[in-house]
Amino acid sequence: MDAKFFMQFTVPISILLPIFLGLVKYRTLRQPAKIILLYVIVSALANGFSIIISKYGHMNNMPVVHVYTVVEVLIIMTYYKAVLEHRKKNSLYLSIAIIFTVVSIVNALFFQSIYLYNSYTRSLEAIICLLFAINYFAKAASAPSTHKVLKEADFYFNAGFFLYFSGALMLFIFSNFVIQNLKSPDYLIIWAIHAGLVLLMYLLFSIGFLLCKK
Amino acid sequence: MQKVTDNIFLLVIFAMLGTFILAAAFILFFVQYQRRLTAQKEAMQKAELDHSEKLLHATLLSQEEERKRIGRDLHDDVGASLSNLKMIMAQTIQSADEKPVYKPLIDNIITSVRSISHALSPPGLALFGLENTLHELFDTFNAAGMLHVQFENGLAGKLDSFNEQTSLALYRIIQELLTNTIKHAEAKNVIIKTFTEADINIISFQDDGKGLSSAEGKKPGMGMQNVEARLRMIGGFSEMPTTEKGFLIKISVPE
Repeated sequence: MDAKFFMQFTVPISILLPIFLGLVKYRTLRQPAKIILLYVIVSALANGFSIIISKYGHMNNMPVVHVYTVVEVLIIMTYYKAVLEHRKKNSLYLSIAIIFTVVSIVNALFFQSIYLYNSYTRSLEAIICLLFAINYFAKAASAPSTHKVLKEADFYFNAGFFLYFSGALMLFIFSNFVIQNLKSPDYLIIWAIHAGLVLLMYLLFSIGFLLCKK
Repeated sequence: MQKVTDNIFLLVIFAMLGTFILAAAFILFFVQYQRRLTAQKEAMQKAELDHSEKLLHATLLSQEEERKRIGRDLHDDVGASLSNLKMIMAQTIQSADEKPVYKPLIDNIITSVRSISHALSPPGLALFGLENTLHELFDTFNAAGMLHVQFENGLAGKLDSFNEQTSLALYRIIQELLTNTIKHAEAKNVIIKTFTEADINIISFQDDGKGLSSAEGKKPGMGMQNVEARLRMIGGFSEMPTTEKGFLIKISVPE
């Protein structure tokens, strides 16, 4: 299997696994898991749309990535708001959401055109998600109950985000350098590693859905 | 100055792998920490549970000892003193025309003292065994007329072979179940059966009362907690199968 096939076929198709499991177990999903299901469905649609317009429409798909970045952050923050149960910190989530959306618009208008990769906002997104993921671990570590963390769906959802964004952060930071300076196969290898991280995240989400119980 | 010739491809790969490994290590350490914490908490909970179980056993044992002592004192001291008093009064008050009104009074007190002392500590248990003592208990309930107790003993001879602690525990359990039936079940009849099932001695207790509500079944009251504590003390266990009418409990008793 070459890197192109892996990136353009295997990984995009693999998103169907968590979607399928999420829909099959929909009745057992609590609110955070339902948000993750929404997240993978939105990702699948955005990926599909992005592939279609670049491959068949021969158009630059970067505007999709710009919009998707904002939507992704908003969904992930909704997930962490539900799972961390910070009812008193509604204003914090709202502030981050508004600031991130504004920063993304300003970035697209003045710094990184919508036809270029939005490495600033992608990196910022990864940092925000990593902070929330660490917050989840801190909360889980101080939980008084004797629940087994490996049997909790949220552990796998959170581990998926944590591993994906920690690995992808450096790629997001250097993405425009990579796009500008590297040619195939180096370029492909780096994005294939990114696709591997995405695959890992989908697998962890699938485990999470499997563990959802009424 | 020497020209930097770092390969950006390698740098990006190293950076990605490095942060990924750090994150993976963080998760691994977190899982290990959680596991250790969970194991510690479970061990602590188990130790607390064992301790409270031991305390409960000690309380039950000392309660039985105390009952035995009070029962013996009542029977031997108070009972004997009352008998003496009756004799002395009979000798002192000799007048023929005077009706001995004190006699039925003292007899009543002696009977009460005896029944209280028996209830506190069944004397027949050591002397005549569990089977006879149970018959005596059932006769008392039947005589009171509040409940009809039917006893079908399929463990003839075996009931008396239990050691003193087991016999006393079973006696108390059945006593508690009968009291519960009178207090809560609104039942008329109770059938108590003893039999062997797959080499296990079983005592089944069934009444024709209103049975347990689902809430009561989940959260046992003090009486049932006592029953369970006594059973654990002798290594037995109980189950409450669903029944069409009334309340049914099956008690498994170790040899």
